[in-house]
Amino acid sequence: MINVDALYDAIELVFTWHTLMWIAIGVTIGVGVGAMPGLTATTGIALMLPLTFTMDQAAALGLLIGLYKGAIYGGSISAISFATPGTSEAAATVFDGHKLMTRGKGKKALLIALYASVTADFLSDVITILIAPMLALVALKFGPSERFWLMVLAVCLLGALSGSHFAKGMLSAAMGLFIGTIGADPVSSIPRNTFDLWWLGEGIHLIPLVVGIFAMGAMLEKIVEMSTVKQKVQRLGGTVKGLFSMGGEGLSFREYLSCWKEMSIGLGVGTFVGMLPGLGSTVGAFLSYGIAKQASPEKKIGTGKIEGVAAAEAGNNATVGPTLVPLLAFGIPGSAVAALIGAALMLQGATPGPRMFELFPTVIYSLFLILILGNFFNLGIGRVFAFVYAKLGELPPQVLVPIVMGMAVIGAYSYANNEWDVLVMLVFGIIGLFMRTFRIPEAPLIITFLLAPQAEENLRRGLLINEGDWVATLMNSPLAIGLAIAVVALTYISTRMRISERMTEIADDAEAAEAEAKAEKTS
Amino acid sequence: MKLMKLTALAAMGASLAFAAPAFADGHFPNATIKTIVPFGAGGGTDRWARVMSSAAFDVFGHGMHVQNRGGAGGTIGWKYMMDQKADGHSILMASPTPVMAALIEKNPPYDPAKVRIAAYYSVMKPTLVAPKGKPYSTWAGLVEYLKDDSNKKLTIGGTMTQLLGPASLLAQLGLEKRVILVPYSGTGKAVNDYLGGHIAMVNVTTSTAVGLADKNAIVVNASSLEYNKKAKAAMGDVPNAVTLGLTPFDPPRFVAMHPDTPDEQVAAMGKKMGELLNTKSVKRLIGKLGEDIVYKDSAESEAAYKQVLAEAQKYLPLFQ
Repeated sequence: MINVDALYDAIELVFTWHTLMWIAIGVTIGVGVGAMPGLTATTGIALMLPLTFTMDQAAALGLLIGLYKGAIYGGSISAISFATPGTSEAAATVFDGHKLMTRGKGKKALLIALYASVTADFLSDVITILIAPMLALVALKFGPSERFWLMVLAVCLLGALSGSHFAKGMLSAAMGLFIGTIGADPVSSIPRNTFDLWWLGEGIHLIPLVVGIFAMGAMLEKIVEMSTVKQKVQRLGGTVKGLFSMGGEGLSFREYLSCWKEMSIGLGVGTFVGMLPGLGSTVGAFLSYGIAKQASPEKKIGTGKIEGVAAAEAGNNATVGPTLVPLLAFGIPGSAVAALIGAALMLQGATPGPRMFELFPTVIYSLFLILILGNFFNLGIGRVFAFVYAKLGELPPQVLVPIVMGMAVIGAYSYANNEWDVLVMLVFGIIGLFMRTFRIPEAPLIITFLLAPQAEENLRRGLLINEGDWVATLMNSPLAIGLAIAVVALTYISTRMRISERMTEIADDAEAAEAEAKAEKTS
Repeated sequence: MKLMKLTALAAMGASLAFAAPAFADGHFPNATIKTIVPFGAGGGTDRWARVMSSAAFDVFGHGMHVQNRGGAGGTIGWKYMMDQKADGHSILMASPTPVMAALIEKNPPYDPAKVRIAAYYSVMKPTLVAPKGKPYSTWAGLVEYLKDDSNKKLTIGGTMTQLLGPASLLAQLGLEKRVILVPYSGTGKAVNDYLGGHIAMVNVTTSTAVGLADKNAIVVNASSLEYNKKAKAAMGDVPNAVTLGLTPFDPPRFVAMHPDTPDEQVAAMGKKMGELLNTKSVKRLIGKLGEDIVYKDSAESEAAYKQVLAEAQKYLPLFQ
């Protein structure tokens, strides 16, 4: 039931120049923060929180929500322009986005990233507003057993990301699995696989890993290329002058519409992942990308397609609204960002909890209005950033390589002001170079690194709760059983598909060889 | 000769005056205070640091520069504090997490016992929550339930720090084997599993317990402290460790300093922290965040910290 008076009050509060200005400031800062590797939405919001102490309710929410939305999109800008994901959730955008950039279609890639982000974000906000309490109840059904099967299902769904060479995909996944086990044991907190290095006690952080593998790895590869192939010297002056021109291949409305399927996948996956505590937008992006790739093999996602960018970006931005679902429905923050927004609400006198809709309807409606409005600001401000960065990505390698390497070092350090993270990033840069040289796909490493520790944590927690009874742990509820069946069915179907694909390839090769031999004979 | 003596004395006095620490002239601190938060931006400790730093100029005459040095369960930030000069101008906003991380680590980078505590700024009150209408919805009911071996073991979720509260109370009654402690990396995840019925009980902070009090039973407060008025109104009369005649577990939030920091500077910093926590704006903001200020000066804090350390060492093996 809508409280009309409260809605009217919220409209009056939000549609003031003052509040709109703070939303714009939030989005601008957010896009900048997101584009800078290492600086995340959480860091940005935490740093801005003290500023809200003296602000009114709507302005404070405008600044923080705007920043959140901007940062999630901003990560894709540097991912596309420099193959350097500004935030970990933009790592999946690198695969297609940067390939488009190297083909001179950077502007197109940045625009589809922006439009897919805003579309999925907007629609997931609407879903959040309409059915937040219902979504929250669904999330509660997922306990340790259900979450374990969900992780296994996600890993199975992402088989497509292993590329054409299955063995190399498995090697990459195994590396991710091992790296994911470094650090504190998820149940007893005892450090393991740390090589007796105390600073590895908490494990490897996602940001230095992603920045190392993608950005530093790519730059090291460029250095190797530059030293082996004679590079054509480019005139820097002309390039810099071109930075502010509006040229470049744009995105047509038809192209935007052609990505509807990938955006829908991103919307569905992102909304679901966002409302579950602990998963986050990075998982949303990779899952959405993997599912889109499997759903439309004919689109050849992964070879530099706008559909790949759309799937990844829709997947991460669709988590923004639903992340707030557990906070608004139960007062439980499901992520660090939700905790900060919860703190901001408390500072404004509105304690998040089950009675929030009843006790603070104006605050809730203001929050919803800002969630929706933030998308429009993101659209406008994001476009400005996109054009500038699209040109920056076209800088000659002699200029680009040191800039990106510098950004990678600063990004790895600024994530936690921790010098060891820089070392970790450099090590992963070398591993990234090794993977590129031997054409080992990066995605399985990132996915298993992200999901395997969560799967282990949930399995071990389930075993702890069920006193070591495996059957009770794994078949805990009808939902867990359903997910387990889905895992088996999916593995069977994808294996069959892979075998038939391979058989077709072999048959095609044989036919081609036969035709070639016939042609030779006749000639 | 007399003149020479006088000159020597004057020279000695002058050199002492110049060499004396800044607090001797009543101006301590005399520079910005490096405030190390051993976690990433955005957590509970970070919020305390940022709220306190907002009023620092009024009390210290200098700012508090908050630096997040997260990683390795807070040990990186603690180690960073140990690498700073022991001049009183670097403080660590600590919680039990880096203490426990060091206790668990095989080769810890520091000894958590070797640290100076300038002040406690808060003490958490680990609060056990259960569904209403269960035989274990009250403390007496819980004890009876656990004493009966025919009953199933009960699962209690929460962060490791929070779980040490009920673990210590139940261990004092010899009932620790009748519960399964389920550690979580964050309170939110534990509450989610509790509300979904995946675990029997959850141990949380006061602010979370207040939010849950409407539809759940508040079983016990494992600390020695009383709840504030607002929390009492929401949760009713909840027994705490002292009223139950048990040794409490009081996990602190505290300001730590380098172990070589002179006593006078530790005491002066502790006193200033008391003034800072007493400012109107800090009290208002902390209250709005649903937290309680619990101030102890350096002498009281160091004694209380020793006890917490001993309790943690005693009960941490329950998780392994």
